[in-house]
Amino acid sequence: MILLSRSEEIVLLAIWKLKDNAYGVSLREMISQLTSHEWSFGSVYKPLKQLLHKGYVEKRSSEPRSERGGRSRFLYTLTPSGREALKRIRKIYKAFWSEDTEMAF
Amino acid sequence: MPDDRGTLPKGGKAILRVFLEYEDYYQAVGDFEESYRYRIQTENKSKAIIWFWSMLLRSLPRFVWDYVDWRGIMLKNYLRTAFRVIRRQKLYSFLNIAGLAVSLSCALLILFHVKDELRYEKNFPKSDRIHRIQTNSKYGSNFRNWAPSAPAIGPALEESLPEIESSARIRDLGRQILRFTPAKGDPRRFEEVRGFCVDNSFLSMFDLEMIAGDPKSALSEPHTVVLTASVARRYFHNEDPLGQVLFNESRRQPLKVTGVIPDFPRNTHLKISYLISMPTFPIYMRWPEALNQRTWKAMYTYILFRSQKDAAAFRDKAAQFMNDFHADAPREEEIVLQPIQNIHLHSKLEQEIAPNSDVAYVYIFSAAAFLILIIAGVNFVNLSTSQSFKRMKEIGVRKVIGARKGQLIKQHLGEAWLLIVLSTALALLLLNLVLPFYNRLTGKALTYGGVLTLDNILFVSFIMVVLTVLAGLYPAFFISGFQPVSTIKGVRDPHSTAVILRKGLMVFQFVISVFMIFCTITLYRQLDFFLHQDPGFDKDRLVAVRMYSDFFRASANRMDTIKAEILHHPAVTHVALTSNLFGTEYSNERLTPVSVQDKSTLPMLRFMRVDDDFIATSGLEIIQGRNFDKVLDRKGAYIINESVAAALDLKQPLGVSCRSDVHEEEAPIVAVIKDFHFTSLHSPLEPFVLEYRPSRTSYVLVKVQGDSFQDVLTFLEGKFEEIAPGNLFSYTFVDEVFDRNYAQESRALDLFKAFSVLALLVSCLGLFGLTVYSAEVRIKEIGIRKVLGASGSNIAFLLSKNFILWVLLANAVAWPLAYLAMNRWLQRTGGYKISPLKLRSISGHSLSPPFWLFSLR
Repeated sequence: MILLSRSEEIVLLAIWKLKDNAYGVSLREMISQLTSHEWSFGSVYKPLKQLLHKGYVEKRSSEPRSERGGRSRFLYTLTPSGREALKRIRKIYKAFWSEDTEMAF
Repeated sequence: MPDDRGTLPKGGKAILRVFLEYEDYYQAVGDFEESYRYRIQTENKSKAIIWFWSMLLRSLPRFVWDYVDWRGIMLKNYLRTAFRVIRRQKLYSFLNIAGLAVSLSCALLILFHVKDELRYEKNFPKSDRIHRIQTNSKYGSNFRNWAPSAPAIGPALEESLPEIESSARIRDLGRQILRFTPAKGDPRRFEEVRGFCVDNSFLSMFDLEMIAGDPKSALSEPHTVVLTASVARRYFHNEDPLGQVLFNESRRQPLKVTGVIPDFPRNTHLKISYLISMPTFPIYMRWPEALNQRTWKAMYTYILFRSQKDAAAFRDKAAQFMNDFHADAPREEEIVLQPIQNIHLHSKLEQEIAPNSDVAYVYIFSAAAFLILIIAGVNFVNLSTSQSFKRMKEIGVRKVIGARKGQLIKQHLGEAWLLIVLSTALALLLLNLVLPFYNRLTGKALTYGGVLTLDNILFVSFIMVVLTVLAGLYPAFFISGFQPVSTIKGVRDPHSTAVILRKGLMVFQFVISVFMIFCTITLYRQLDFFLHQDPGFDKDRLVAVRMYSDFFRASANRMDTIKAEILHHPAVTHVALTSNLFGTEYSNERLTPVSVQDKSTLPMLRFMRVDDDFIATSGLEIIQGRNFDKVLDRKGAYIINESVAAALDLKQPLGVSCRSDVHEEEAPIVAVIKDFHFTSLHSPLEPFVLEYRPSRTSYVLVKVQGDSFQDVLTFLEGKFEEIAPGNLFSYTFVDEVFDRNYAQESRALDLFKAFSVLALLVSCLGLFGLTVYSAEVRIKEIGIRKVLGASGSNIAFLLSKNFILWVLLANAVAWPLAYLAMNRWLQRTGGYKISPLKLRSISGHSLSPPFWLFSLR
């Protein structure tokens, strides 16, 4: 099993949440909002690349768009193994966050 | 919405461009621009710009890291491939690296040599403003260009021209014996060769740092001396030299030590070991007016200008100055400035302090270094293109995976760079090994540490880059241009441009090496000619023993007895006295026949003072007249050579009464001898006068028979000790002294020999590599031929046929080129010379013909 780094995890989650509209700008905004920390593009691209490399996400380009100066967006979607990875993460966290440990706070 | 309103700032885009490629760049620019436009719409432009730059700045570390990381991964792969190639193809890698290393170390050595030659005098901080006064004099029909000038000229110049900051004169005192008698222990006595009388201003003009003593006044009093550190150590060991007193035995005067300076740097024409104050000079000469002389070329005068521009303007003023200077007795004489930085490489005047080098050698050696580097570069190109066929599959696979042409070019340039780095490292090691031999060969003292200075390292890096680009670029383009399909199929095109280029380069390479060998052989033959040409006198087996003042005084009245005693030794056949040795500087004087009133129209002649046994001892040939005679010529006499008779226009020279500049008494010419080469063959035959004047000689010449040199020397030393106890005994061999005139050629030849052999070696390495390659390509053909019964020699012929043709072609090109080049060179050096292709010299001495050498290959 390949463990993901925290930033990769977050990006993976964001892609899943954004469904068909996951690309650089939307990803950065969503992550920044949810983590209440301003992420740079560089720190989004890096985990994206890793996820692509590991085969958890796929990349396709959209129609050219005028707000990008006539460029296409690169849209990211989960692959089946990406979906598996998310499920696994959820399971692990669930196991860790069992009730008695929650009481400790 | 106007499209360009929201485009990103150009600089930002450019930064992204540097670190991101293709899709990454496309995506980043898109994302940045989208957010940027959004911010322009919702907020305003300046805020958007601020946001953009801060976002870019914060993203940059990631981009940079990624960039470096990926480069690193690829680099690792490239390095692994490169080392794998080096390891798998040991022979080629060896040929490549060894060839490059040898030629690089060679080129570096030459570079350092040339740099050292060019650095002469540069250790003196003001060297660019210091000039030496050269005096050009016309004597009737001939000229003499003098390095020394008149003692009065320096102070006069300083006085009349305000742009001259200071002037300094130095006067060579020749050999002197100095003695220090310590309070206890034996006196320390040495013969010192390089003593000079100098003005006090010399110290500040050349910024001589004083280890001890006051630079302002150290040399202003008579009988004071400033020693260099090594001389001071010789006499005073660890004691403080300051204030001690040395005794100058040659002049019988004491010298007070008033200062110590460090030894002079090695690369200067000022070869000086101690400085005596100028006021001492008139005392030594027993001539109070010595320093006020206006025509006597006795001193080297240096002047320091306030700025370099003044030196340029000086030329116009010089003529006027000389007119005023010689107002009382006008002379045909001019003064010329010689920047001291030019002296070592450009100056060839009468009576230089020491023989100088020649700038021609700087050019020749630089050219040699350049050619050797070219040969190595050619090897590199040839070996890498021929090797590239073995790597076709790798390149095909890389291309299929998606390597772009640029990447492949970079990869192969990188490999070239790697090989060059390896060879440079090896070259530096080699250099370290070779330096001692080089120093012995050239008499220089280059050290490894001294050679590895910052600018040299920069220069080496520069050479490395140039080599990489020149030698690596073509193979890189060639390799990256392979078609993937044909590479994987293994198709080889024997008629590709690379093959043609390779052959062309090979021919080029051999043209260079043959050229260099031709030059070496010509230089060798020229030197051989110099050394073996009969100079017209017999210089072999002659020992010259110097007569010091003590000996001279002790022997004054009984020289004939002493000569007879020396002749008693069975191995001694002749004994004579002379003032100079052949091949050294002679006295320059005029010989004035009594009929001539105005001697200023007469030419300057070379003089030598001898006794009556000299003609027989040196084997000179009298064509008319008689030898000197002790009785008849006790008031002096002259023997002249044919050229003198011509120069003075004497139809019947015998019996003509003459005066010399030194001796006012008239004396007859008693004989004419054949012209002979009394100096090196660099200069033409010149007028030469022998004067009978045994009282003004300084060497005893002894002609030795058989092999008992050592025996004779011991005998002579005993004899000299008997006559003047405690005097120094120093001797030289006349032929050695004479041949020292060719030291320059001989040293250059030794270096050039080594370089051309190396050039040939490196070319042969390359040729060898190509031959092995062509055998590999044709391995199947060879197999079939062998099966069908071809013999080993058949195959050898098959393989070498082509190369022999190419090498012959190279010879055909190189010979005429070399012939032309050497012809020019020989013309430039002047004097007597060989013809580059002539096999026998005038004297019939057989020269080794170069032809057999070429057929060896």
